[in-house]
Amino acid sequence: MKTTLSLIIAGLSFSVLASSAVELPELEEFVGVVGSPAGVPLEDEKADEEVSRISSLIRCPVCQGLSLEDSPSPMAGQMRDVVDEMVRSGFTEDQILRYFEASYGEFVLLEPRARGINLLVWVAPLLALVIGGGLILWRRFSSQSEAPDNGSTRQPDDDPYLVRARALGEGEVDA
Amino acid sequence: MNRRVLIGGAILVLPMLALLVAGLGRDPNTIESPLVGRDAPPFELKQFDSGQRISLEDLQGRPAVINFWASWCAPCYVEHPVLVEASRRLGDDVQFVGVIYEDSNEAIARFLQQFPPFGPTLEDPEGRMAIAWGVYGAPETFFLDPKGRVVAKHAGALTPELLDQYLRLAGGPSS
Repeated sequence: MKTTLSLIIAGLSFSVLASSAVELPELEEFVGVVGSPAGVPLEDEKADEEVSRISSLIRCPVCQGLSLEDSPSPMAGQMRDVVDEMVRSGFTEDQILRYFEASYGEFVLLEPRARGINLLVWVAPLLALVIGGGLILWRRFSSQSEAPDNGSTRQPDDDPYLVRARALGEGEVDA
Repeated sequence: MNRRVLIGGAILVLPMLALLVAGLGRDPNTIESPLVGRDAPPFELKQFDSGQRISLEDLQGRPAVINFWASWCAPCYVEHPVLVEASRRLGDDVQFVGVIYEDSNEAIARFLQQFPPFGPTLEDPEGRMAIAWGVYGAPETFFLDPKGRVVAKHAGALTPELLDQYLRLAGGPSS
């Protein structure tokens, strides 16, 4: 019984070693950059959907603002093949994006990572909204609080120009 | 009020103008590559004529010039004689390697019948090396030091002067 169990374990270990020995050289170019696959290998339709989704996040380097998914260029096709291979080998979205970023830089990501100076892209519109909204509210409230002073409290008779004009008209004061 | 508008406008416009001026001063042929300063991505490709395989390890021990080119690329015709002349002049001191970028074997064969190669010409049929090296188009040239580290990348045709400058960076002999 023990011998049979040992043989089964030895057989399983050998098959695992054999399969990794076959797969490793193919994945070496990816593993060397982003480490071993951290996800689950996908197949068939699920893999196709994931390849399509991730390809839409990566910029085609030879096109004007097109993603790998949208570009008809041969280069984009070759890059989609890399995404396909990585998805089917169990690499995660983050690993795949990091693989392309390692060779092309952050430019290759259609949505830049929210860190460093890139944070401005996310924070600046919010800041502009808050500051702009604040300014509008401030001006509105300040003009409302000044409005009664301009209209109801000042009597026409108090206006020094009107008083002087009337006086001139009635001949009380010399021009 | 006008003064306020002027100052507000200046605060908004001046940083944008500064960015524009800074961008105008940049050389469009200098593509910042995340590979510069790092070990070159490993590769092992077949030679176009002999079928013999060449890997990154084979290049180590002396500076290397890795040029991605294609027969359909007009600047490659200007650059090719510069690389041929330099490879003849420098002999074994510098390793020159050409990598075919998105081209057919027939077109490459015709090109090499017309112009002598400047070093081994490698086939990259699926574009894997071009992708791993972050290549945008042809011609693009990478300069490696004797340890296999990328010291510079140049996009566009090389002149003898530029080649000399880059070779000095890579620890090569100057002419």
